[in-house]
Amino acid sequence: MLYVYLAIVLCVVVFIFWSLFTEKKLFAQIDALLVLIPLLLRLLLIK
Amino acid sequence: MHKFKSIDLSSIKGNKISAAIGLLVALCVLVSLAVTFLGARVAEPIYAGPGVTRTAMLSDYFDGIAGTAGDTEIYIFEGEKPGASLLVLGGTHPNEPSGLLTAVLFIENAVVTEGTLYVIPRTNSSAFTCTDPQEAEPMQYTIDTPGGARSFRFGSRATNPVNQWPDPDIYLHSSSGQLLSGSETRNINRTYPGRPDGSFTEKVSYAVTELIRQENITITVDLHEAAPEYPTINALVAHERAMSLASSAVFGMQLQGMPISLEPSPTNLHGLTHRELGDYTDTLAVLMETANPAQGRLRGRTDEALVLTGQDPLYVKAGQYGRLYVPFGDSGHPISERVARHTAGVLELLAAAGEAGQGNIEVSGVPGYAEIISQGIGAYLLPPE
Ligand SMILES: [Zn+2]
Repeated sequence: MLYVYLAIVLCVVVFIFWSLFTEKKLFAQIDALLVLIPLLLRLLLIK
Repeated sequence: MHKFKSIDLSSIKGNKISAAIGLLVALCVLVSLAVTFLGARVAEPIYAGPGVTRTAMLSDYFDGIAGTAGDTEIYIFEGEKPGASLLVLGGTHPNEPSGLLTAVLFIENAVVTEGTLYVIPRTNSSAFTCTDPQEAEPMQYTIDTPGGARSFRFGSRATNPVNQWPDPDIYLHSSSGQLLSGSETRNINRTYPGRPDGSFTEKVSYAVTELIRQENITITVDLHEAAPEYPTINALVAHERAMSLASSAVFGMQLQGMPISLEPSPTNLHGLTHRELGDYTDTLAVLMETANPAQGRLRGRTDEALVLTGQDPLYVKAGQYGRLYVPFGDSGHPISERVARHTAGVLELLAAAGEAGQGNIEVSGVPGYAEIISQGIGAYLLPPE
């Protein structure tokens, strides 16, 4: 089950990266970065 | 009249360069957070005192937790004369600091001449590596000792999600079929007697159960703290087979001036030490609770001072309204008092151990209730190396 959830997190992370580099609004980019940090911490099983 | 020109922040343009710069900043934040969170996995030192005859690992009793964050040290004091044995479980809930500190006090001071004492300071060692979300608790607290300050981790009630994730919506306790909320699946005091093929937390509790079975431990005492508004407080909760022993201990504590009550372990509340260790092993299982406002819902700012002093004006007020189950004055319930209560309770159980018919346990070197309160817990901890 852990790996299923990690796969979901990875999927969301990929979409956020894609959105970050295609987004035209600065504040939407900042939003993406804010969401990215906790997701990466969980993906790496740090937090 | 001033005229403000409103700026529409959402209209500020971004591009690939701003994305790359932002990503760099986010990665810097990530690294700094990672250093903090990974640093929390390094346990602070506990120094084996003069009475420790050997140490073991919990995985020596169930190798299914070897090499995981659930493995933890067991400090063993073997008396020259055989007798009964007692296991102290500290750190079942690492957000209840007096459990850990009482265990450390025994490890660094106790000397056993008859019988055997086992002390596990960090029963749920994984839960020491994180704090509970949305509680704004401090990550550590510092105790001054004559040889310098020592810091201890303030942890979580439950196993670090990094070690056990995701939580189910509903937690099914395997041996009883009891249903609890999903997050309790990581609460080690809901997973006893544990399972060798269960979740991370069930494996750790299974290892504790195996330790008790394999060493035939006479008495097991689990140390906790609870909110002043929680009914089971200043209490010794005992399995039905442990009632006679526990009543001796409660009587001894009352004679020393401690308000404490004896409560029978509910038969329909499963997964807890005082229920399952009593049902699934031969040990006499008891659990002790002392009052800590840092656990409570009525508390104000949750900082290191609250954890150590146990003083909170909101609890004084709640006490005046008669909403608490313990007396609560301006002096609160400081850590030294909470450790003193637990220490006195363990000493009373040790003194009464002979009642179990497996011999006595003779322990010296451990300060009593009045000494710990007057000198402070720090006076009895070894200096940092
Ligand atoms: Zn507890």
